[in-house]
Amino acid sequence: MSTPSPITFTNNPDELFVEKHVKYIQSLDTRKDEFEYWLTEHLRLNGVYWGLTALHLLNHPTALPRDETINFVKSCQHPSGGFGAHPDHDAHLLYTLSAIQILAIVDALDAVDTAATVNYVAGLQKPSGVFAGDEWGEEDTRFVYTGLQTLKILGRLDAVDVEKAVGFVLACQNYDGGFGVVPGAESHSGQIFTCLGVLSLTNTLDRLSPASRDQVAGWLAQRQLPNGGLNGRPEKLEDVCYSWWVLSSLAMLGKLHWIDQNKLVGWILSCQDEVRGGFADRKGNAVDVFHTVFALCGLSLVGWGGLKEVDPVYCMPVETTKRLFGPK
Amino acid sequence: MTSHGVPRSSTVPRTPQAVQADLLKIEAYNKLVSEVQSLKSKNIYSQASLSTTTSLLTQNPEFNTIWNFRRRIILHLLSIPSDQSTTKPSDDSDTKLSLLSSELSFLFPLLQKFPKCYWIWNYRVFILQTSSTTLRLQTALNLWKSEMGLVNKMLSRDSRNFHGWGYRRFIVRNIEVLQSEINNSLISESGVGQDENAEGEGDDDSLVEQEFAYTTAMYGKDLSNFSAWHNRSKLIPRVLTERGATAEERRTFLDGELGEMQTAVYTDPYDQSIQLYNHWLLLESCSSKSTSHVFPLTDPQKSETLLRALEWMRELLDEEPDCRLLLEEMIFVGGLLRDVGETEEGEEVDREGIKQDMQSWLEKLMEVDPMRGGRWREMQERL
Repeated sequence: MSTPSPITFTNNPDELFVEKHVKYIQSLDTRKDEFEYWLTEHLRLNGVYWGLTALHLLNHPTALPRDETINFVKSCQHPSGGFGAHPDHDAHLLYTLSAIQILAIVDALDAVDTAATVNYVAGLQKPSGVFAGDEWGEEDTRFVYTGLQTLKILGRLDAVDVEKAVGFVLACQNYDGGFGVVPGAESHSGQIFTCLGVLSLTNTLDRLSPASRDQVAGWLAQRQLPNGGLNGRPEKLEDVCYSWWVLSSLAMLGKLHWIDQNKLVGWILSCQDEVRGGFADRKGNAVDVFHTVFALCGLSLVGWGGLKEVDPVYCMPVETTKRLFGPK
Repeated sequence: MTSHGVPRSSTVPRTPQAVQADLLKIEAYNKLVSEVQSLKSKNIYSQASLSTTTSLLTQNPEFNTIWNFRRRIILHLLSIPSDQSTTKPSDDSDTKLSLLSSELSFLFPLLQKFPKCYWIWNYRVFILQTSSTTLRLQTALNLWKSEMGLVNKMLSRDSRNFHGWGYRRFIVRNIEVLQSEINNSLISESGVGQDENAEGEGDDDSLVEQEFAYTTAMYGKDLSNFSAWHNRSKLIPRVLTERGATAEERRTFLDGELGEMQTAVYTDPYDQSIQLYNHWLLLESCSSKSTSHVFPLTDPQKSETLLRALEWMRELLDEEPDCRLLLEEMIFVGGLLRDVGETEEGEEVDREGIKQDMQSWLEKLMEVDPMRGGRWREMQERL
């Protein structure tokens, strides 16, 4: 579905500072003397997933200690089966997916009570087919994706009403081809990723007509700005994280060649911190692990040499998804 | 950890004094966190707990677990009678209202400071939903209605705020539902008359005209506001239905919108927002596949509309020969025209002529928009 065509990178004087990025990610848990470290505790488990995925793509899969990683994930599980971002944080689908992805990547799904996780996720599906993020009930196409991917990894899509979930996602499509948070909401690249992700992982992408797939791909291709970067909505600024949301969506549609990949690569590389490693949202800004992983995922999708292949549907190394689901 | 738009600080390491200052800040913050976590683990849902979460959430509104604790505190405080010795229902209701109102006031400056923080918006929704289930309907409705002021302020500060527009649609829907519940209960208690708080809107509980006018005002300030155009496209089907518009009135309405678009595209042919809305109008009205309920046109009317659009686009192309958005739109209009059967005079559409035009526009597009060359080449092959 999404074999990135091999392209030759011309006109690209920049390089990818692999060792610096590895060191940057390894340093993240040693920054306890920085206030920011404590303010971002609510993203700790996601941060582990972003860092781990980045390290796998950089071909340094053992750069984080495996046992500590598994123990941390275990410590975040609630009796309900869901996961919080940190041991004393409440459970939410956003953290539950990260937990299961981490364990899938390090091949340790048996370390936690996955049967309880299946129950937790299944309990969050609403009659309309949508999923709530947690017990407090916020509904969003992001949670349809996080819920269904969690179940897919655990081999338990049968625990929910997939047809209704797909129906909800289709109801979120707009005339411009894009998808929103809920029916009636404006198209947004992040939401397009989650909706196409749901259709891909449930093998229902063909529920979109060829014309409709071309339309959303056309909208996504319009996200590329003259400097090569991608934005998330019309008339907005470019941002490195859309190198994932837009590019993975184009990959799922088999339309990576609808944008200028060479220019995008040059732009992504310009967002590196050449001194201390990591990527920022755009050139010259402060780096973080979120933008670092999505920059690397973008580079991987267009086949940047030396990076491991990323799966556009699951945002995990293809090595992991092949082990889980077999070759495509 | 997910910073946006924060400039990279200099590579110079922090001074020992700066590190020390950070450590003090961290110590104070962590002391507060463990205080709140301890109250939470002991299930202490008191006014004092509420104040402690206020201090923490003001420092770190992204800490969603603490918002959840605050929800439990609020639900608990609402569940106990305000004064156990003299239980007067009306006083009780006032206490509840003031608790929920003070929550909304606490959130307002936080939202202004962190307009993209999901958890604050979610918590605000929770407070409003709780008002609908705990207060008298009319009192709750007044709270919901005053949200329009907040959302207007938020959108005037950032007219594209994704959360703001979503919240606006959500608020409008809830006001309509509550108003209609109130109206229905008034009808069923016929003779009771109008509630003194109602704003004399009769039995009409639809806000669709007000919302439609809001999109007009928003694009009036900035044509490039796609969020406003998007909302307009979603409102129009309801506007026309509620106006009871006839087929002819719908066509007149469409002509008005298309005329506006012509002016707008002439003003800025490089703006995607306008192009996308124009695209919707033509797709909805002139697609050959089915007859639209929104804009019901016959085949000759469709081809006339499309030919008219192409005419002004061709004129504009003479002035802006390199405009890729215009070329793309002309190819789209050409495609629609080829699918529509006959013209006004009952003649067949000149399909071959249009195809040749489309080919030349595509060639030009490949020249001026090489970034998306892969797409244009595919289109050319299919033509």
